Amino acid sequence: MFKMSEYSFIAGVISVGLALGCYVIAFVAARVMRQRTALAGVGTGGGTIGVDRRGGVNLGAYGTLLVYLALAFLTASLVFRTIATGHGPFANMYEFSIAFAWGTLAMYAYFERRYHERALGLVALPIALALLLYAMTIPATIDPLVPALQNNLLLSVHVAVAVVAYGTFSVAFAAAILYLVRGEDGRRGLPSRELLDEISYKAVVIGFPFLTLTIVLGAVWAEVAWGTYWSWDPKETASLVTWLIYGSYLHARVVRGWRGERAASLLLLGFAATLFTYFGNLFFGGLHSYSGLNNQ
Amino acid sequence: MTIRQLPDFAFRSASDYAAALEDLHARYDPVLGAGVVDVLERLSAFAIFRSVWFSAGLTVLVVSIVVCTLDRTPRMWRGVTEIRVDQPEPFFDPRLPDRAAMSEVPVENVRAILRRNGFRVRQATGVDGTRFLYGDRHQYTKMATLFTHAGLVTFLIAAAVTARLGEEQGLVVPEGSSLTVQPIGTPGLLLVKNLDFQAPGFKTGQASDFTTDLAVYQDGREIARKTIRVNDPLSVGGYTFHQNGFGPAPYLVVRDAEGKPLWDGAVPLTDAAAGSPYGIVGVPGRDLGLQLLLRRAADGTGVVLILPYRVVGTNPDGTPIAENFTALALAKGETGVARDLGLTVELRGVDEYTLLIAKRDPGQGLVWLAFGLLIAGITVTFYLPRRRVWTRMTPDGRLGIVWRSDRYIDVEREFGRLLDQLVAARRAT
Repeated sequence: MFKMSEYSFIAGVISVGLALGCYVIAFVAARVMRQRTALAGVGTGGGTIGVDRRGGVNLGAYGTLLVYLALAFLTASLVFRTIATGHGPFANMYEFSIAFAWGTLAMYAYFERRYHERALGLVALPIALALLLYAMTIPATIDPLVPALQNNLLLSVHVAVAVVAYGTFSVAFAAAILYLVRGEDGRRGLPSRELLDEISYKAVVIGFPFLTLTIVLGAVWAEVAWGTYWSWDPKETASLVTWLIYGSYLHARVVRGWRGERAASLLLLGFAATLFTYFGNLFFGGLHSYSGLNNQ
Repeated sequence: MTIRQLPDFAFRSASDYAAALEDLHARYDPVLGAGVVDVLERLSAFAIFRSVWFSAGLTVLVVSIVVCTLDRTPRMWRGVTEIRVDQPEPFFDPRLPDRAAMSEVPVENVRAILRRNGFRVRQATGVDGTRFLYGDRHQYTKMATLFTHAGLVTFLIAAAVTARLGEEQGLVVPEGSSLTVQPIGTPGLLLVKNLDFQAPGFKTGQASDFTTDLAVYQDGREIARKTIRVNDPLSVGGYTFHQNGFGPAPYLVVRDAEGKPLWDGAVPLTDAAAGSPYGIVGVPGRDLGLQLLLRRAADGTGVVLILPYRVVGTNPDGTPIAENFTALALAKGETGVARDLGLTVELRGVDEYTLLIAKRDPGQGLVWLAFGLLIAGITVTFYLPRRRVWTRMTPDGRLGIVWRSDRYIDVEREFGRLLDQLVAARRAT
């Protein structure tokens, strides 16, 4: 099972890399096509890699197919790993990195299917790929769980919920980046600013309750395991800061009507906090030092 | 740079506080200077969560949330309950966003479609015979924000209740030993006994698990017994006992020159010195103490270094002046003699002590309630948002439709689906 998990993981990495390649080529091809059409004096029609099929082979569609394939491979990898270890595949940095990448891909696939915008993949897929490449640098050995993690139910639910939250925040970040890169003129062949604003907002709306649940379940677990809900260790504090940033974003939007660049900038900050929450304990230690990297 | 907070044990006594503060001085003085550390200490920067200004800030936050929520609530309630079914004609202008117009859809079909889509339908008829249907779905969920805010307030109140009325302490109990949970004389005094401790390890030496067979007694009667582990505490008598840690506890027998026992028990080595477990025990009936340092060999055997000492005075900074005597190094089963003190010390073995967290938390119920309210409020707010539809049918069969919902609804999809159904209903006639 361990070997099967490894093979599926490698297949997943290759699939994500190929999907990203398809998206990049399709995006560049669509841009070139649009520039030529514009030079010829024909309206561009605002096509993006999601709808442009004038380049002959639709690489964007192949990219999407590869995203689904990558999801299937990574799902298989996580399932095999679960069978091999006997617990949810979230017990160390290697497993959590794959799960985070899986969450990013799953949420990207959901939003792409819903909004038919593959441009999001230009940012979301590099995030997933970076996480997977990072996982490749970490030992994949299976070690027994330390006493604090010996709670299979809470380990699985607490981290699985976090994976959904992080995945949606990756998509929100992708939309926010595209929003800022696109500019007012929209000549870069990216989706409309309104749509990107909408996508990032909806991603946070999905992710925020999951992040809340992650923190609450973490507090419940800490109370059971250590007798204290909250210890202000680096990961706990970072997750609270992340929650406050996304909470501020939602409040600012609903109550103050924040839109546009200010809201997008807040999302960049939110994703930076998300990454800090994810990596922070590597640098600052604390109660969440389960990465499996300490013994290297 | 982070500002380290004083540990809980620093607040047990003035000497513990002074010792913990000394550690902070040693850490920060070279960077900040002693004056700055003293100022930070006076500002409670090393005990933020116990400080007056933090409590004041928390109080202001609670009051602010409560006042803002109370201010918003009547407006929200009016928005939820005060509904005008018969909107004027300009309201249905199809050039405005989220509006549509069609004709020849029977009013019964409109009502049926709205109900099929989960809308609660109300109706009204104008003086000219114009008929209005109004559909409301998840009408009251807007009020769920009250749950969220109530959850936040409850959470802060729970934190205050726990901080003021709760109790939490670490209990260091060597194997086979007992310890009272509350001060002696407390009615219903609880006593815990460590019947057995196990800490099987990985190959790396790290513990794979640690368990304590724990018995709890009240008025001399055993009221609970359980093998507790990190994720499986024992709750009894208003307290919860969590397995928190463990460490070595050399078992010593100390005798005087006549062979009369002065000490017979395990000594938990709860501190560390030079990277090794370290502890101190006073010799009963003598003005002597023993400093213990455990040196473990690679094969698991250990040697306990025992340094007898006597406090002979106090330094100007409050630290004791100790007179040290000849040290002893004992392996398991060995006995050493401190001739200059008239003592013999026998090391019977090196047991383990268990570290328990005994916690009494009257705010716990409020914490669970706060968590529940918070999750329920956020979930309902974001996943069950309100949708509203107004329709206006003139006597000549023209139908105007208006959709209203929060921004995070996919209006294009949901409104579009509703319009598709209405168009289908029109064709069916």
